[in-house]
Amino acid sequence: MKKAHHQLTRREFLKAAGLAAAGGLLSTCAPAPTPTPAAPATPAPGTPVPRVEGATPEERALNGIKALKAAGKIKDGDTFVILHHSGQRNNIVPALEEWNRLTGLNFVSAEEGLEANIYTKVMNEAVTRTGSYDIFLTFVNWIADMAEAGLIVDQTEWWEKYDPEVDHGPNAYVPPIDRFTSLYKGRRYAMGADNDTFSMFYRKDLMENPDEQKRFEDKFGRKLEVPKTWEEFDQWVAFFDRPDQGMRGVHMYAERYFAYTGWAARFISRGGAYFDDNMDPLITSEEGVTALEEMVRLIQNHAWPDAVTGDWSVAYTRFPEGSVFCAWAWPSLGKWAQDPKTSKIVGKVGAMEIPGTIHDGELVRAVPHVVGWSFSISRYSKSPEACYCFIQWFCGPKTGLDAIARVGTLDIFRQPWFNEPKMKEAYGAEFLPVLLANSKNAFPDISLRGANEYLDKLNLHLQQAFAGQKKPEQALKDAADEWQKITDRLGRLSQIEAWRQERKNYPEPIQRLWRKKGIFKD
Amino acid sequence: MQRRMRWIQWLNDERWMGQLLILPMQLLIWFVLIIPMLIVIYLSLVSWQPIMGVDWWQAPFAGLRNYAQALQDQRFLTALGRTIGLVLVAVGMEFLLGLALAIFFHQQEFPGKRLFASIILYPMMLPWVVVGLCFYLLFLDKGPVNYILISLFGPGASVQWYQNPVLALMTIALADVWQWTPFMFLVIYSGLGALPPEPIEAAMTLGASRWQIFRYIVFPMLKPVLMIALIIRALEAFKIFDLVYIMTGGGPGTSTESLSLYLYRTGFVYGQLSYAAAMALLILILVAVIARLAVRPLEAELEAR
Repeated sequence: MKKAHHQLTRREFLKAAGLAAAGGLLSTCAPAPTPTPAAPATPAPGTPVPRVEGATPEERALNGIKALKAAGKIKDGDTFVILHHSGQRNNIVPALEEWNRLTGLNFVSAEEGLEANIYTKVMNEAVTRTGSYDIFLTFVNWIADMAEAGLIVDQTEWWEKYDPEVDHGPNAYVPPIDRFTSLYKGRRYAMGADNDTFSMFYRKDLMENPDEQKRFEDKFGRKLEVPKTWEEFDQWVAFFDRPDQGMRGVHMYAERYFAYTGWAARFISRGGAYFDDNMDPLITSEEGVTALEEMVRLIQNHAWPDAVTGDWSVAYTRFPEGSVFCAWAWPSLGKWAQDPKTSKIVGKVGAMEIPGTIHDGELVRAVPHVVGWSFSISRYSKSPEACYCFIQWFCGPKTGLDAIARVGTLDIFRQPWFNEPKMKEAYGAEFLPVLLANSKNAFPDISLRGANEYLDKLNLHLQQAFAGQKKPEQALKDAADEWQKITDRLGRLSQIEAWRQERKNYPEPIQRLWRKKGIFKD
Repeated sequence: MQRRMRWIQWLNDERWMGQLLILPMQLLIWFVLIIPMLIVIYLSLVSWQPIMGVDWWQAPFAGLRNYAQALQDQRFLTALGRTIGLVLVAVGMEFLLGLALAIFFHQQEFPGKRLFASIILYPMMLPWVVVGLCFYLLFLDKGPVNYILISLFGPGASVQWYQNPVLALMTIALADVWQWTPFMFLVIYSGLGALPPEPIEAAMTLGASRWQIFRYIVFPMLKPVLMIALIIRALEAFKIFDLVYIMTGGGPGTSTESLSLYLYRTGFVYGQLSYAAAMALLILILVAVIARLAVRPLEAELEAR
């Protein structure tokens, strides 16, 4: 029987087109068959992991590539994409060329100009699983988000197999940077490729001026020296605060994105911790409030207003132009202040260890490690192990030395490099011992899942305190309330597990202080 | 051969051919508009963040909780009020300045008129980010504006533009006015040029004053154009993001945060995509209602003609 001729109505047509489109979309982004996780299976406890032969981390990485090729897992010309910030081009691109020449693979760079966009791209990749990127070079404290989103692989087994010499031996990273740039919930999800420990820079010429020394001694009854405690630091800054001469005492961040840094250094050196073991915030403690009151006084009385209203770059204009006596920032500020192209105070710059607080005769310093970059590997890469071999090679004692000494935003992190002539030339011989000392006292940004949100909410309220819109106690209470909401939303138990591991990545003197104060037992 | 004939016949059937021709556009609309919209609605009804470790289609159902949360979220409501205030002030000023400039250019003849008209349009051609950066630099503590103030009135005249929330918002509004007054000028100037001259000439013959001519003849005839210009600009200004992001980052605290910036932070910094989706839909509904109310009198007037 012949079918009756059917007139297709517009409604029917739209319905059909809609179904086709929906089907198409769902087939691309909805429950796509989840690619088989390429992460190495965790071996049974006690099972020895076979080690790859080779005298150095670089050699073992190259041998790993040979073995992967022999096993037919990769072949010459295979392409791997590294997502990184454009500021690292000079560190990464020349190394890629060398790696490709040595391995016959094709590792390529994908640059992103804005840091925040890297996070967006990474999270998009976690949702869409396109496998567009094989390696991510991201902020250290995004590792938790990436791991929990199922985007990156656990590298722990490869660390055992290839031994990157990160946490032991003469080539080790500066502790505790070796821990907090790679660990999440006790597993190695990343490999640190940077050192973003803050240092304080000051006007050495004024410190060496006999008139200034005499005036200081007359006023405070002690010699004019680089301050060791925050109390001394505040007096020092007040002494050199000369607004009538166009020079304020200090530039420390009190703005929207890094307002927490100065407060956190004081808070933690006083024995404060962000959370207790149940993830209840401890920032409203006496240590937290006092630290913020001190910082607010310092910023409101001895800093230019753009400490509150500017951005991270203000330190890089204020200090080199000579309009502040001292400033703190990343290691690169020292380079800027010593470069005639960017500075009016070349030859007048000193660097110092970040002050601390004395507890029972012991000076405890806590130095913020702000941002920092770590390599992680996509679960959806065609060969995560080959990617691992690259990052081990790049961060290796020899390759890394060459890569990090080039001008870029990645900074020195392996201990022996602090004695290398190349690094002395790059950073200045006087600065390196200071940076090493500060690095040993470095504590990480909050690196829990949702770290961006924890830090942003903290910054928001701290900035309001610095701008005089809120009392310090209220600002911290508001931040703590917001933190509780975040923790509850993301799952308190999981956050507790992560925090209990994370606090073990703090420098030992701080952990000792916590134990002494009874904040944590272990 | 038979198959080929059937294919040609099918193609010649205008019902099928018509549908086939519009199919690409239909698919495009479904993919870029309707399906994403459905996903946004779905996301707003669940509780999901990429970092929760579950896929979005497995997220727990939240009902209207995200909407309820938004309506109680002080930061969201304040950002909404602030954005509406910013739109009223900035678009209002743009309208008045644009109108004044358009009338001036329409009525006056002077050498270089065309050149000046072109120059006036330049700010509109600049990217938001460039305008934001320029104005940010202008109002820095050591920027040109403070330099002029100090030169004129002494060191005490320096103003902390970005520390005071009202002043910070003012600088953002000023940047917006500078960039978008040309748009108002362009639309109104074109509208004035298209008005029929007869009623105006008749009024002049009857001795009407310039104000009377504007008030009773030009303005009513120009009203649809003005309404369109105002609606377009208001909708655009409501989405203000770049200027705020660059000039103040929403600070101090959240005191200059616009709706778009808060949405961006919620979705892409905090990763709360479900909550951001609910807020975005609430804003969409609000804007749609306001736009509808604004357009209705215009429609009535056009129908009456």
